[in-house]
Amino acid sequence: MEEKRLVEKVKRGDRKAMDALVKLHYRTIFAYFYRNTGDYHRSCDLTQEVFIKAVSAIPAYKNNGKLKAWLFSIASNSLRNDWRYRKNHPQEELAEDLLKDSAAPDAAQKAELKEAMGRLPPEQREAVVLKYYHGLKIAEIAKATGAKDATVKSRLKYGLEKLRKLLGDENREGE
Amino acid sequence: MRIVKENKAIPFQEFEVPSVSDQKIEAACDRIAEYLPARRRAGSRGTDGLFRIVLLEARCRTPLYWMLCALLLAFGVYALRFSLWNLSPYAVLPLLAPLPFLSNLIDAFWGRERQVAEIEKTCKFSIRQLYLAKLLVGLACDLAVTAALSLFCVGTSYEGWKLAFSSLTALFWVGTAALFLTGGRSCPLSVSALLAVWVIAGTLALQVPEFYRFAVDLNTAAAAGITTVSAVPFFLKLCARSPKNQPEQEGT
Repeated sequence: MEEKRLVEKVKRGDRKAMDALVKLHYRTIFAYFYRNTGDYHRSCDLTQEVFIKAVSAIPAYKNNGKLKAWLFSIASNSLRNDWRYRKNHPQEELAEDLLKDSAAPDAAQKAELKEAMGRLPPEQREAVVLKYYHGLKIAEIAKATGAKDATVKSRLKYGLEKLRKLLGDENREGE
Repeated sequence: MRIVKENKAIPFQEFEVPSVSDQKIEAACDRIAEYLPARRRAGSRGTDGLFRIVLLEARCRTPLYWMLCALLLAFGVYALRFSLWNLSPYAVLPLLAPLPFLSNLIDAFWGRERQVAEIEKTCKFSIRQLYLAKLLVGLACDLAVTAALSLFCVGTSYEGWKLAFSSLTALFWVGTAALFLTGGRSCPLSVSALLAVWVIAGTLALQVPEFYRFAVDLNTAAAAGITTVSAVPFFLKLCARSPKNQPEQEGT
């Protein structure tokens, strides 16, 4: 209810309401990008991009109480564009932050999952992040990513299988 | 659900996300705020601000418009109290009934550049709201003239309700035609043409004895039924002009 009021105010150009709305969702969207890219600065840029797109398009947004889902669909598109850009402009894929984490012996164990996630195909990683970190339902993920329910289910299935395999392999390597 | 159970072994919680400082978010807010829609007055969009604009619009009417309404009223009273060319007011007044609404439409469209654009620029009202306000002012004036004439029937041999229903039927049909012709665009010429056609056709129709007799002899219940049916397309057309039925970006 409060969120709906904030959206209405943002539609009328209220800066304070916009700040409140951004603060409310910034970290969630940032976490989504970080879990997909493993790159702090890239995630910050993408998060900002999502909010710029959202605020620009807010006059046309139907205020139906599904703002988070709408933000995720914008985020998913931004992520897809980012993947496409990086595919055409290849650079170091493994994020700097992940390398830093793995360098510290204590953090190495925690970085295992990050590294394994980083090795997942982008679509599978995105589905896993939305499902297990942001608690979205299959239908909501499908809507946000523009895929069919069955496709999301299959991405999750193969993503999780691969994750389990990667984590298992790493554990064996550690032993 | 099956997938969740299957993957309880994967320690998802170990994927820590670095925290983002409040300063960083505030800096992002400054950047995002550049894309904020232009600030608008609260209530200036949608129907909540409409009443305010209708009042403003009523104050913007030219003296000529009020004079026309007063003239029509006076003419109507004269037609009721005295025999006018030996014609019944039941036939004459419906002919005159849509005139305040039509002349208001013409004024609304002719005045577009001088008044509406000025108000739109300064007050940031949408053009749809301003047009709707103008239409509502015209409708209110028309209804007031009709109601006043019906009241003047008291003490005469004429039936107020019947006169009101006949006049409203004419208003609704001609109003619907005018709203259809304007179709969201500024078409003062088409409304002027409609006004001329209505007056000429109405005057000619009064010369037809069958039509004249029908207008005079129509019973009140039938007139009420016809008015109700006529009101439907008129109000549908009017609602279609509501800002709620238009894209939100329009007029910004």
